[in-house]
Amino acid sequence: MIRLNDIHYAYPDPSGIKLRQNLPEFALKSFSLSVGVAERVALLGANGSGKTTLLYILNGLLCPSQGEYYWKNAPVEYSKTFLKGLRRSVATVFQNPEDQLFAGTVYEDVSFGPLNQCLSKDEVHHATLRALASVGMEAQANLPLHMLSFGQKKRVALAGAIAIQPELLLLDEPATGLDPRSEIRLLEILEVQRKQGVTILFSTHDVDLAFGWADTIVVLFQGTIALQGPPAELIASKQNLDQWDLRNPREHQYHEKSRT
Amino acid sequence: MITLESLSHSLRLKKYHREIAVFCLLSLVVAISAPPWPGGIVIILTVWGLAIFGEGLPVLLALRMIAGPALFLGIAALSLCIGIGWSNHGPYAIWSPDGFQTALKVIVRSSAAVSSMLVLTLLVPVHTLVSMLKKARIPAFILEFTAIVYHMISLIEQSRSEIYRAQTLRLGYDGWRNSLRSFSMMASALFIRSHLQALRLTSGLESRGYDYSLAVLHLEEKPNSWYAMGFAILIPCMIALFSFGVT
Repeated sequence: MIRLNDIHYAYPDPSGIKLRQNLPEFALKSFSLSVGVAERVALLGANGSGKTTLLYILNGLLCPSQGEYYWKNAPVEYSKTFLKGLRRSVATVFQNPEDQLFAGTVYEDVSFGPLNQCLSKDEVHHATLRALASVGMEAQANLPLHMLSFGQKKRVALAGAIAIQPELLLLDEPATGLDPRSEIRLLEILEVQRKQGVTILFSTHDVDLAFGWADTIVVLFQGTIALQGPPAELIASKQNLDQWDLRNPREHQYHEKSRT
Repeated sequence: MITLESLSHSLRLKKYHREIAVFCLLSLVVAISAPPWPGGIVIILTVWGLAIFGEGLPVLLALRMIAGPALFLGIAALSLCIGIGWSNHGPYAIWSPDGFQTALKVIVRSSAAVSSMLVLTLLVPVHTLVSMLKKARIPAFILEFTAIVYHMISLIEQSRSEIYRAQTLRLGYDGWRNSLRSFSMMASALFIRSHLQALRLTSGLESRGYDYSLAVLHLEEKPNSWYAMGFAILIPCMIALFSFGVT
């Protein structure tokens, strides 16, 4: 479904701050990745490893400095028309829900995406209600956004993404700020989407979450791929986890502790 | 702002938002156009009566809301009561009986208009107003601009309270000098934060297919009863007729 070949990305640095602070030139370097349909992929990495940059490249907000990005075997163009089409199929949920919520009420905000797809009012209405029901926010449909808690805003942001019935769902640190119960609910919602054929890709620094949920884990370290494969490969490389600013998954820690 | 919005969702007659909006807007028109006596007085009593006795708005809150505009109007009206001039003996200031009458009329008319707007703000959520204006065929870009500005204001207010809390916990408002310094730092931080928030929101909207239009669907709300809407229209009209009839 998506293929990235040798992607490089460098943030513009006109004031020379990065140079003065000796920061790496590239946020992403020599990055190649392939993701299939209905896969669960976790981008795992410490802060500043390039996870969010990768998500922004996947939804067309950033254009790679080098390399190719293929969407369904067609090279991604950065024209307005192409990006419009891409964003009908690729939905993003940002780490901070305030970065994408703007309307007067929950219902209005969720209806924004489907309306941009030129659906009829009835279709938009049904898509909105379905999305709200899938995240358990239908009772709050008429509430203003600023009356919601952080967790509720995250659910509304997710509903806004689900409402357009995407093929690829990108989530930036979706579990940050959520209590354990909310986290479980979030994963249940994502699993329902995956069973409907949606590919899910989320970024996290929570090793347990990535280990417990993903089919494929991509470990990023300083903008490059350190490891890519199923969770078992993460365990096999556990001696390197420290070096990548990560830790052993807790499940494996308990297992090791019980053996000693 | 956040307190006001939550009030409009929690008061008794929250199902009658549209009727209350029509009533307040018509009262505003009557307040501006009808003679201040008795029209203005009746408008003030009617709108606040609706808010306090009809909706259960706490009286103290109502007084707090009126206090600011009342002080402003009072100071402005005072200047109408005093005539200032220059005579052979130098400058003078005298009490003007005509000015006093004009000041009274201005106060009553302004208070009636301000009261209508305050009660509208207190009792009707912004999204209801926006959907009503949309039905009145107000241009879309005005409504979208209103909605986004309202949302940004609520974000700025949230940031303000977070910054204020963080400063207070570090004795930022302990004494006059500290308070002034903290306030100015808060103002500059808010300016930068709101600019960055606007940039992030733009990226967020672009990723949702933003095409220079913030069109959204509004949940259809049927009027609660035609009687309520009828009264909402009839009462201001009767007040206007009464005012013009008396004068």
